Amino acid sequence: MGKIDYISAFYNTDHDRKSLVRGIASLFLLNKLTAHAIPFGSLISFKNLLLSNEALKNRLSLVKDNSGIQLYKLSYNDKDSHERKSGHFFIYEHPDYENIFCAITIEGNEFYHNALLPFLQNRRLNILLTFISHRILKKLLDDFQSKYQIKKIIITRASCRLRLTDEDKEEKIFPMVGWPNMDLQEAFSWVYQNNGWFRSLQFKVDDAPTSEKISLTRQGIIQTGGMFEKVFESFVLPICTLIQKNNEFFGNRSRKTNKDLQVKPLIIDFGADNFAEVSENEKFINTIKQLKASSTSVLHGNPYIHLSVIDYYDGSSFDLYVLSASELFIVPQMKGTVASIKRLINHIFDAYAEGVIKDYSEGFYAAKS
Amino acid sequence: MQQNPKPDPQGELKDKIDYYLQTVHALVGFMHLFRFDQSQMSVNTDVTTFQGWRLEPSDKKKKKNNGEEVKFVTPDLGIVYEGNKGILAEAKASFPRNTEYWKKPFEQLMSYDDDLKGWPTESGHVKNHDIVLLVNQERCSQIVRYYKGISEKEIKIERPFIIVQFNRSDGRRQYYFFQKQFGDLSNEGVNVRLDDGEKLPMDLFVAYYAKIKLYDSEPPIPYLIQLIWENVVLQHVLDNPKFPYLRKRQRLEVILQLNDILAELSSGYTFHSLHADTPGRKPQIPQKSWIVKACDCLVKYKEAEWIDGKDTIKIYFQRYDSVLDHFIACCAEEVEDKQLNLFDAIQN
Repeated sequence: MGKIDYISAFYNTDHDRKSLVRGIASLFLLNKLTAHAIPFGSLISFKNLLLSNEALKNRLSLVKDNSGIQLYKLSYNDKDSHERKSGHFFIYEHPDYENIFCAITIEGNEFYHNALLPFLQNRRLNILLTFISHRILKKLLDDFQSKYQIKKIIITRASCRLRLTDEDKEEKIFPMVGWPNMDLQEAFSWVYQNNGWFRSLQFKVDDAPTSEKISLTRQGIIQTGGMFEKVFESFVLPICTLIQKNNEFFGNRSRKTNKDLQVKPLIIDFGADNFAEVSENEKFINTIKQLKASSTSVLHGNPYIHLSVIDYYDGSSFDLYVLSASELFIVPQMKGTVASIKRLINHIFDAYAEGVIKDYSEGFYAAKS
Repeated sequence: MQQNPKPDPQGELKDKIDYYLQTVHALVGFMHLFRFDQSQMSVNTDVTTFQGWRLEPSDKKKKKNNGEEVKFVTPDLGIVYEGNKGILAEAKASFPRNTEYWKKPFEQLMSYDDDLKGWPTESGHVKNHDIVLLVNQERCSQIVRYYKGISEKEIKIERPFIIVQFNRSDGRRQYYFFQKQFGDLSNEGVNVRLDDGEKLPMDLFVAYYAKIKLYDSEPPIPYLIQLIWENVVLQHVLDNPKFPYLRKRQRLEVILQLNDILAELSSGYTFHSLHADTPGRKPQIPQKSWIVKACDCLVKYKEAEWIDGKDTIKIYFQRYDSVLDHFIACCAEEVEDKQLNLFDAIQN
């Protein structure tokens, strides 16, 4: 019997949350598989979101629907062969958080890259992936290592961005991909010393029976060839919690829905005096101008920064201010959706610098004066 | 021979926008001196501030020297503290170079030197009030000298009159600096603070800056269009199901009533939210004439069309990489065309 039979049988089984995760872990023992897990938030139930969309009926069908787990079949056009193909994916409904889900597929890289990920990303108005800061990425890996008493985590592939000084002595951000085979601590220390941050990491666990690799991206997408239960426990579930926390923190910031049209600003504290030199202002403004599908109006650029930004994806708009050397103030205007706030912050973290996100309080700034 | 600098209409428009915003910031900062209780780190609930309110003159000042009737005066900023003490302030970030034009602002201040009616108090009056002129530091000494020179002859202000200078200053934190240059405020606490000057960090006012974008003075046209485009037109175009799929250079039509533009800007982007709700005294900010002018420009730039006179407008919404830069460029082009036409006329 071929491996496809195991998988078909697996798809034919009625799963609950536990049996799905355990089942995938068991399949790994029988077959050489790759699982992809994409945790995300949605404004409404995933089932309603998809099944209410007529245009999707030819592409997507609900195969099974059991307590908290749904199995879908998704059709797509193969780019190389131009054939019509299909694959399956599960939707795992988080038991505690409403409208927080994880899409899981064991169909392999082709289905993930050509069908599932584009399908979810194209629904960006309704589906919110997350963003994992460098600091949280390290914490997830440290927790994973200590929880399962793993002696060593070896970074096998890393995509990072480094802030380096070029020949003209100008600081620029360079993307870099490497295969360092470094220990976790060593790799993070190297990136820190080179003024950079990781965008995705692939690693292996040296005392695992197999040498299967696990990878984790800044969007919270996980790929693994083994240890599925542990990976689910240590990465998927904490990332779901992070999405939920972000939704709560970034939610209800549209002025239109606030009493007396009040503003609810956010702060990104870069932790260092990034804006001590006025030349930095131009770099920052240029970074914001690179935000896809947006308008950036510069109301003031030097010595302080005041930008007015529109996100054309959903019509959210923001005022951005840099009024001190280390902080950026983001003020959502009439419409400021969670998706848009996250998109803006992700872009800043990814293309400029990471920082700690805080809530604004007038009293705090008055006390500083 | 000294050459005239090359005209830079875009730069001039940007400077005008900066001056406008500096005035807004100065008004917010000055208001804060009274409104925020530093010992408690909280907003003083017994301080009321208002902006652009119509106050009625007393009978003896209802007629100007030339016989013209004065129905009301509208100071830039009003403050009531301790129940029945008041401040009326006028802010000027830029004064013209030519001092011949300086008398007018002082005449305006003289009109506030009156037992005005319509203050947000039970009686509609205050026991006494100060009159404050807020000016940019770069012209302040000249202005003080000018006032001292004419105060006894042409300009007479009986009530306490104070000139406060402000400027924006750099540092690790950006500040607005306020310092008294003439006269004494009746509020002793604030008066002492302004003797040596007070630095107010801009980060303290983020919440105000983001919602107060207009005051009782006509803003530069590209800035007003940007406010209308981003904060009114955008909100209405969102209702169109085609919005998420709108590509660059494609247009979506939005039909708006002028009164809706007025109402939305007034409620969302002026000092409106700080006012006590007193019918009839709500500020007319922005004024309808400003909006008509901005919409006329949109029509001229082929970004809109009037429908049924000038009460309704159809705007063609487009995605611009920078809304402000786009409209500054449109306005600057118009200025340049005018200059060229003038040059051609002289040549011919």
